[in-house]
Amino acid sequence: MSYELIAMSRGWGLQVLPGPARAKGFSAAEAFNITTTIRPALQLVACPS
Amino acid sequence: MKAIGFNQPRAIDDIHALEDIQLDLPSPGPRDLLVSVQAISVNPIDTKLRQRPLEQPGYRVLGFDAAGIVEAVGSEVENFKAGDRVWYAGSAQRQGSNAQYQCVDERLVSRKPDSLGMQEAAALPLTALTAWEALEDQLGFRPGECQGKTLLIIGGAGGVGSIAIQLAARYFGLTVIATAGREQSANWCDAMGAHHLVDYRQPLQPQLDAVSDGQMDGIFVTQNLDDYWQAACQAVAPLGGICAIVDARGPLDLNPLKPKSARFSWEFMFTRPLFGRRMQQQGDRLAELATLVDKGVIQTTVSEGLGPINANNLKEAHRRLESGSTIGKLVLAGWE
Repeated sequence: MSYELIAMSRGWGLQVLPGPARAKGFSAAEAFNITTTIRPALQLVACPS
Repeated sequence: MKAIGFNQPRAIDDIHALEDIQLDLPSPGPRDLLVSVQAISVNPIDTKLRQRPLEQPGYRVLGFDAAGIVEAVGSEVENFKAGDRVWYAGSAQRQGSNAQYQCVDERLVSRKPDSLGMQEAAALPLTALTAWEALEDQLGFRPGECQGKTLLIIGGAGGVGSIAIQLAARYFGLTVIATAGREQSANWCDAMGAHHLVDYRQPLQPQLDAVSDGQMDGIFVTQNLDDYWQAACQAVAPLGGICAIVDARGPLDLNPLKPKSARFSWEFMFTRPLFGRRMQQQGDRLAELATLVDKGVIQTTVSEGLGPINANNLKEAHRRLESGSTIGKLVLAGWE
């Protein structure tokens, strides 16, 4: 499953947190993976220091 | 009868760490059931006891989870008869379930769920009793009376964590937050019923604040107690509790809990059989658990069957448990 696509299709930006993700219908595991995988990856892209 | 035992502590890669042996058939005491063991599961206590010196010469048989069929009963047994299909954890003071036949006190036993096979049933007793005693006896939660209360489980994907998530979320009615570290663990915890998952590699409190009010009515620590102690003291709610099932490597500072009047307690499933106190509670809870399983409230936590019960397969189970990355429960079933 592509969490990147899920997150983008639901309009998530860089500040994805587990709580709001759960409130928007993500499962606990999806919210976890968004937080641990997607958000760090997006931040890495946004801040390529 | 066939059994798997060891006669001195050895590393798991030693060829004699666990051996296929032959033992005499045990004779049941007055309150014992003689059980034909059909399936077993493996727990961290097996690997710990395997590495401790034996207190008496001879072979020690481990194994503290079983599903099987009652072959015979002791003279004072009241609640079971030959042919009953049962499950239990048993006592760590006696020879364990890694044998074709085992004697176990009837007060520690119940009939197994009809809806589970032997292998699926064998995964649950020890971990379920541990989780249930932690939630109700140590942390003070009551089934169905936990609306609005939050439980944090450290180590959600392990054997105890897996059933603790289910009992807490589906039976007690708690909001459950569990720690996970890998996508596979997170998916497993999700399937067990966790409401929220947090990353154990990151600071816990900001993550707890993001999914809740940050105040945990209960914290159940199933691994690495020392590493989480400071975070647990911070996250526990006023009048809440922390319960652990793993030894601390060093002294724990209880003072941070005083302003919150929060409590700390140990849970050790073998306390009841060890001291002979309120043993029947374990049989009663296993019977209630069987009902919950048959109603579909609780599911088995088997993650993998490793084949028949023999020394080679049991060593593989010990090896994996010692790696510390096992999800759910490993089970062995049948005799060759």
